[in-house]
Amino acid sequence: MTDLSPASSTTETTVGFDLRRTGNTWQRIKEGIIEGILFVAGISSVVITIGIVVVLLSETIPFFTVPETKTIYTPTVEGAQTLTISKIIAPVGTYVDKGAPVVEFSSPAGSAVLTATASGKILKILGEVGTTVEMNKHLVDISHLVTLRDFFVDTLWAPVFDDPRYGIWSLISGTLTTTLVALFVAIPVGTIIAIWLSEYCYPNVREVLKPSLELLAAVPTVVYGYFALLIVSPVMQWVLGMFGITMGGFNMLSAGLVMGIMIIPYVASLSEDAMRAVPIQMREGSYAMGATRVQTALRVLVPASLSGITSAYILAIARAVGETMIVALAAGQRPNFTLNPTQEAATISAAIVQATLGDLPHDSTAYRAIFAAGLMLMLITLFFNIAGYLIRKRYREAY
Amino acid sequence: MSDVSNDKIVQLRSQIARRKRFDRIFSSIGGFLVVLSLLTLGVLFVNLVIDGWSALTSTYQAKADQSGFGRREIIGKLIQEGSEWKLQLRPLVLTDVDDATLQPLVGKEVGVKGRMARAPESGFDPSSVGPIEGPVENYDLVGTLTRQQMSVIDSQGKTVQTAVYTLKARPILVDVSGIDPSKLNPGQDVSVDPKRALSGGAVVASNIVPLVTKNFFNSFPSRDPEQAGILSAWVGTLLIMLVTMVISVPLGVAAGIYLEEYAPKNKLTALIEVNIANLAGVPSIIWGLLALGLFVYIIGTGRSIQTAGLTLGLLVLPIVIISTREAIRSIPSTIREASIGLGATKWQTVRYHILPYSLPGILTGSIIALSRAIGETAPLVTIGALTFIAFLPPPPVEYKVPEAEWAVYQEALKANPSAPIPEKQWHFQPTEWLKSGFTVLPIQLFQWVSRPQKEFHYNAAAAGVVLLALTLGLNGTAIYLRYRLRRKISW
Amino acid sequence: MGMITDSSTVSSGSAPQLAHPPTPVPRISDPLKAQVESFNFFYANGFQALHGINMPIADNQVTALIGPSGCGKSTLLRSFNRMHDLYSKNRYEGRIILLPENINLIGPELDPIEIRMRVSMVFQKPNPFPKSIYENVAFGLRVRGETNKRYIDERVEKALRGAALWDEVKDNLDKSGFALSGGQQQRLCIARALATDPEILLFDEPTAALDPISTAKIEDLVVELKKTVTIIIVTHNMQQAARIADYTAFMYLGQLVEFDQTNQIFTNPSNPMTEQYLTGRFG
Ligand SMILES: Nc1ncnc2c1ncn2[C@@H]1O[C@H](COP(=O)(O)OP(=O)(O)OP(=O)(O)O)[C@@H](O)[C@H]1O
Ligand SMILES: [Mg+2]
Repeated sequence: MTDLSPASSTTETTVGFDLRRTGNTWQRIKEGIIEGILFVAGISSVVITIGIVVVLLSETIPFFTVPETKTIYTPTVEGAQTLTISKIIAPVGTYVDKGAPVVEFSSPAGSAVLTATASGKILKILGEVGTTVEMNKHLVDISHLVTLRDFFVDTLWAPVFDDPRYGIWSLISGTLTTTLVALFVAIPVGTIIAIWLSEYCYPNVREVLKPSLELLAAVPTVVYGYFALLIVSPVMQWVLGMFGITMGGFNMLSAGLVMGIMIIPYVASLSEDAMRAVPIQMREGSYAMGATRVQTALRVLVPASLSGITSAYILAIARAVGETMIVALAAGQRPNFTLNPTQEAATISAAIVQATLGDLPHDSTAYRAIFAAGLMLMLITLFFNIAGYLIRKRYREAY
Repeated sequence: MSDVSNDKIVQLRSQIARRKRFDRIFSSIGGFLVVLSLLTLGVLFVNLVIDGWSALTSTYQAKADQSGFGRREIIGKLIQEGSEWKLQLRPLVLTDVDDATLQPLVGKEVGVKGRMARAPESGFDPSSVGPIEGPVENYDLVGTLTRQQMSVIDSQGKTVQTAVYTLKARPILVDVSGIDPSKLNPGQDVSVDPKRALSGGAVVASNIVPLVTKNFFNSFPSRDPEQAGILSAWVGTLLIMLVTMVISVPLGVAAGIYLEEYAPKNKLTALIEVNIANLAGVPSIIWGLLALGLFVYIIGTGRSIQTAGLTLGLLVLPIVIISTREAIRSIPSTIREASIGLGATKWQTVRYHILPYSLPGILTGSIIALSRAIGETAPLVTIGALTFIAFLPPPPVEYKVPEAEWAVYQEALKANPSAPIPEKQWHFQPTEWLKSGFTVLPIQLFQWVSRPQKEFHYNAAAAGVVLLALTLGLNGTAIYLRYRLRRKISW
Repeated sequence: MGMITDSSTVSSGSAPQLAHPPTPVPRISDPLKAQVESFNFFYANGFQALHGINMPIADNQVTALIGPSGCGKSTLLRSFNRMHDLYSKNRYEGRIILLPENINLIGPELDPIEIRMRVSMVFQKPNPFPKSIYENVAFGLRVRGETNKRYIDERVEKALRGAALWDEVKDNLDKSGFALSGGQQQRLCIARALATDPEILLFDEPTAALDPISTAKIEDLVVELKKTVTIIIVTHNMQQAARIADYTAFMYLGQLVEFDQTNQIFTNPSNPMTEQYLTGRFG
């Protein structure tokens, strides 16, 4: 220990005594500083979490509170070339509901009424009574506030359309479908592998197999995306084709299947840990009754480690819900409100990727929308993560 | 009681046989699934290697630097005849030709007119080829034509015979008056950038760049799949990983030490622990939003290497913290007590006992963190890294002509072809690279997979091989270290 | 019960040295349920835990195994229902004959599952399954593929009565087995072992984790049970062995030092080491 105080030298005099005292004070200060630094590092994870939440909220709140401008176009009238504004029903400054009439037109071919495509305040009307306008031209701006209703009830997500829509359900449906397909693969396969590793495998073989299986979770997800899009998807198209089902190159089925392979280790490894945490007496008790290995596993070990296995499932779900690259590549990036896995559909994460691929103007509602979607995703995974954590903690204390 | 009837035993045995059959079936299913899962990994890797093999191994000739001038370059060997410099062109291949018109010309001297109007490396209009009539100076190229019968596979997959003509052109004259003489080396394969075409196919060169053999690893991404490589991607990955590790390892180890050795058992500590567990489960795309919203727009670090490194550093922080804690926890408290008992302070105990003993565990955790960070794509796509990066970040020290002076020189050259070349100077820019734009391997892979052309998918597979080899290699190292550690340590 | 001394003494080459060579195993006149012959046992790490054991097991009697910790009592007991087969590379040598069929319990041709269905075991620490009381007792029947509800009900009640637990739990059969007290849990485990009608019941220190009252109940139970089943019990409690066992085997360093009728061993041991152990001079 090189930085002990100089007092450790053998020639100790009064001076040496003083040196030791100052050394100790300095030592104490140094210890204090170091502890302070370590504390800051320790607290950093909390700061980061706060950072994430603040960033998400700082864009989500304006998403719901800062109005966006929605553009309304002149209607089309069959047989007419131009329309003449005959009456302005809702002048600038008035509030209109969605579907309310705003401007009335007349034309040689007939009359028409322009209705609001969103509720809000009329900001601008490019023309007055008597003006002649062409069809399908930008005519009215409405200052529209995205409501929770727009977000949670609508089933279309299209933030960069002329008539933007923010229905998160079309993204949740994609997330749900891909996750379900993945669980459909990972839960049976992962659980059987866990039982096999814990009851059938030689311990020294398990030492090798378990980390090797965990490599499945270490493969970069973009590589899995390649695999899903260019290999699994054509194979699945061919397989389903034999049953007369046609499927596009982008589909949630292939993405979900590959995602299932990716989360097998989460299920298998954590479940196996839980099953091996079951006290040896319980396992021997079952064998002593003449049970076979599969009977011991299914009748004793699985019930005994149920909370551990559940938490493994939940963590796998959280992982699948947040997965991005596989779905962005293989399930497509087009929002689609469907639970049909042969369809193309964007998940929440894929929609965020899709939006950031283009040049989203900062401070636009579309930009804020991806943060609102991100917050949604964060809340969903947080729910699963906390549930998994609590269940795992409980089963750790059980024995 | 003791005389068990034979009947009972027979019944027992048949019943056991039935159960054991189910047991064996289950065993086979389980073993099969394990093998199948591992096989998936193998199939994935082999498939990538097969698809990516040609991209990984092929080479091509390209300019030594990217001071590029588009596709209108002329490639050939530079030769010196007296005071004149000439360029010996590569044999030019004519495809899609009218066999009937060209066949009579085979073996004869032919001339090509208007060659300079076309992109030279993509061949030229075969209809401009004809017998020489009048002065040779009227032709842009003069040479001999050869014909070869070749079988090629057409778009329907059928083998068809076709005639391929090759023009071996005479060297063309190159006016090198504006060129730095040090760039003129006879016999060298070069790319000449023509400033102006003169009659008779001669050109005035505005720049001459030597050609080198390039491969997948030292080429930039390109519109041409054959020439696209991962140079900027692996350099980007390397630099970002450097930043990531510099951030996550010290911070994570310090946090781990705090939580294991210093933290009091209170609500705050419990909060930190739950928080770390949750942070480890935050989807990577959310980290991308943090990077976009906080680093790019609020702090203003830009879409740069520092932003990427910082983001990934925070992303893998929980992994480092958790593995540090596990490593520290495996040290028996007797060691701690012994050190404290000898009069060491807390920090001295940590510094001289806890840290050294937990180092292998921390190392393993850092390697796992590194492998996770290498494969991350989504957070970097979110900060807008999906751009075409055909340059490298500036090195910390550079010996070059200052840009402003180079511009002045270019101007002066127009009036005076023998204007003096400005002096090179040393440039110190130790942190410039942090602010540079970047691409990384997974993003390059993502870009290539997203392209519709099949050729780019082969490049994607090749990048996948590199990426997978890196991550599996790192994980394998970590597994091996952990295994060694478990065998070696016997407290 | 007349006693004929067996003249063949056991010696194993690698056997650890005892201060006094093992007393020859007496031949007993009671009908036998099992006979251990020249039995050696090796753990996976190569350690030989048992050396040349020769021992008779009397039918419908209680045989106690005593000896200092680590002498191999559990190892021998667990050999009777092949628990060692659960861990690879454990190795048996010699024979354990099950009578009257005269089959070798540890013979590789015999299925350990079959043995375990005929030789049940109760462990030191009560180990009920995470299931209801009813399902715990029915476990052995269920793994045999028994589905007849009426039959299972019957057997569960009989087993619980046999384990003197019926009156305490008959109204709470759906309650978790964990909800019982330690002594009740142990009796539940005995009921579980009884439900499948075993021929031999093995007890490995069944009362070590229990309070005196629960211990007394289990002891009474063991005496009661020997009417229908052969019992082998490992115990550290000398008084317990004296109270409930008909025969007692004293083991030391993996060898059987002395085997005899219980009153003989406790009142007049023939081997000085047995006496030293019983009087508390080592162990
Ligand atoms: N799995 C094993 N591998 C190797 N040796 C073992 C194993 N289990 C027990 N042993 C050894 O075998 C010997 C006998 O062990 P056993 O458990 O049979 O003793 P015991 O008489 O039951 O002791 P106790 O009264 O403490 O339960 C001991 O020396 C023990 O160390
Ligand atoms: Mg024991």
